[in-house]
Amino acid sequence: MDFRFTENQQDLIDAAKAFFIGENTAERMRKIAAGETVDNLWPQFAELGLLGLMAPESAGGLEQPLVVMAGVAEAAGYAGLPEPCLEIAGVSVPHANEEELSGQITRAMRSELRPHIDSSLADSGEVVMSIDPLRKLVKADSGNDQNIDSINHHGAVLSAAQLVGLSQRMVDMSVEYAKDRHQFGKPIGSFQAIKHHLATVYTQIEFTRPMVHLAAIKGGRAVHTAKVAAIDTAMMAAETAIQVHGGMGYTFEVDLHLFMKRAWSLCGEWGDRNYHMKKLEELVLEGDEPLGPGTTFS
Amino acid sequence: MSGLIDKFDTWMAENFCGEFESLRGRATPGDEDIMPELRFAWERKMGEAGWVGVGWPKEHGGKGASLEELVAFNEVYARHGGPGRNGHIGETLFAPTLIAYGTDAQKAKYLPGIKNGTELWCQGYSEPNAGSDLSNIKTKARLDGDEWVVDGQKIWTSLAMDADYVFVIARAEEGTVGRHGLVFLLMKLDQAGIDIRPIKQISETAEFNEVFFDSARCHKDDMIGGVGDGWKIAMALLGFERGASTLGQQMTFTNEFESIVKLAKENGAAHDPTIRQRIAKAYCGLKVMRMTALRTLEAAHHGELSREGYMSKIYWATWHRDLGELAMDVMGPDAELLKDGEYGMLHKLFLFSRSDTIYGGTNQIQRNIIAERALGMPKEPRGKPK
Repeated sequence: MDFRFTENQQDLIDAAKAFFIGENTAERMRKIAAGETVDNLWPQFAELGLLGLMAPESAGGLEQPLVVMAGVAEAAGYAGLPEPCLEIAGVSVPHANEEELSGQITRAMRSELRPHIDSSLADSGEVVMSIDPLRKLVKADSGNDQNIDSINHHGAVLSAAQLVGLSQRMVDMSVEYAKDRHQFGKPIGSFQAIKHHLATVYTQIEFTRPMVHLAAIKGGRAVHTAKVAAIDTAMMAAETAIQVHGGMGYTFEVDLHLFMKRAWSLCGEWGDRNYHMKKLEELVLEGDEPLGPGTTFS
Repeated sequence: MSGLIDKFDTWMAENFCGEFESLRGRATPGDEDIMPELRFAWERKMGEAGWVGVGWPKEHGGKGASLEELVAFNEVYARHGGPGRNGHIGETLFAPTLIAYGTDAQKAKYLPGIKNGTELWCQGYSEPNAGSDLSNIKTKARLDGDEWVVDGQKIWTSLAMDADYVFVIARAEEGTVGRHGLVFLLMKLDQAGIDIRPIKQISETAEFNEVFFDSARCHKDDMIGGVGDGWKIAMALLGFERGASTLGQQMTFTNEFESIVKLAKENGAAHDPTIRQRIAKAYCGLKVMRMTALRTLEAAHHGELSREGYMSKIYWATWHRDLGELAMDVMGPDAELLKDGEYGMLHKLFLFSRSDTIYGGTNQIQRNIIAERALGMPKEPRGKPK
């Protein structure tokens, strides 16, 4: 098993990350939160190949595996990207039938639909508000899709990957803040009370990432482990970040809340912690699958 | 599965039996001072059959096993209940360092003993005043003709009571402080100038030792690198500590976890909602840890130094400490009662895992290192080294 991306895959992920960070500035995020119009990024998503990343080559896609999409999702999480680019490219497209691929989805890939960050992707449905002002959600009937297991797999992996990216962003913001902010005549980042907390979160992030990649590759029980690990990491990252920022972290003025709120929102998406923990409990305590040596890659 | 692993599987089935039966699942941390003679015999048996150093390059007598094979090798060993290895310090820490930094003569002198399971090694790093502040080494080495003469004291030396050799970091240049002026020496333990005193631990076992050097000697050729290279070599060795040597440990963790789950199912703890959560969480941590270990190893295999390396110690130590507490809670009201048999190991796990977050660098020191080196945070104010 090789966790490393190929050079091409890594280039693609790096390009996506640079693009997301460059375009989706804090200023843009604040405009969206305030209900103002911002640049439409969908044509560029299509141009970078992101929308067709997992689509078959016959439909003009790049036919990449889910683990590459997870790399892109981590980048999107890091940048706080509000557009549901991953949900379309990583969940909808891979489960679209031929008819859908030749129709609506292909158009989405070509960005002809030009979906906005509001609810225009959905034909109908009641708009609901999230604690994350950048997430515009609509109620939809999930129906009885025969691909539901696979859809849940993709969804959970991509939300876990975004949580990893968001956690990293919150740590990076906190590190910068702790280097700048002086108290008692020193940067607060030199105090163990600050740096130890950040070291703990960083450790969690570095350990969670390979698990998310394994979940992308293997599915199954690894998905539950990955989502629980990602949720715990993100919750710890948010808790630590606000503590490091002190009172400023609780203000609307400092950007931290934009990322914390996204993390808090994604924690409950595609199976909350309780759901995945219960699955793991059943698997370990009622399941008959082996747990011992020999299960390294399961 | 590769032919190598099939062969090892068959070999374990045919050889890990008879007199060795009493070692099944034993000699894990907290239990490492048991039945030394039988364990020496087991090391030699492994060595004779060519199962020591399978991950070393072929030109140095190994089998050049791939990462997948090393994982499978350790899985097979654990599945057969193979005991904790008292040769692992030589095999997985010292040998890779020797292969990377030693001279041909040094390799020829020391690798065969490790490979044959006949010569065991221990690590002479920590001192009473050089623990967390490791570079504060006070043990002195001075050149006397063709020999280094060493005076001082090491402490927390794991398995020194069973070892034949120790690799020592000592201060060779008078007046130097910190990381400068150190040497990395290879010394025979069985000599007049060396006294080994086991330290009885809260587990009532004694795998850590004090090692006293009173004009202890080694030949001047038994130095890896030159004068002043001691720190660099010592740190390179710690890099190997985070590598393949963790695989065996991970398998031990898996066995322990499996045992706790089995007990929980037997005694009904598996129906308790809070215990269920903690077991699921432990499972999650175990999986996460193993994936990261594999990724770190894979990066190392491709000559990359992965960032996870900095973080492995604190992650597994914390996980294992928590596993010890889980074991006690799964035992419930019986937790205090010493037991023989299948679950007798759980007390040892609990007691020994109190030391996991301390030895090899405390969690607090690990966090300093991660924050300063991986995150680039401002350094802690430090006093002048004396």
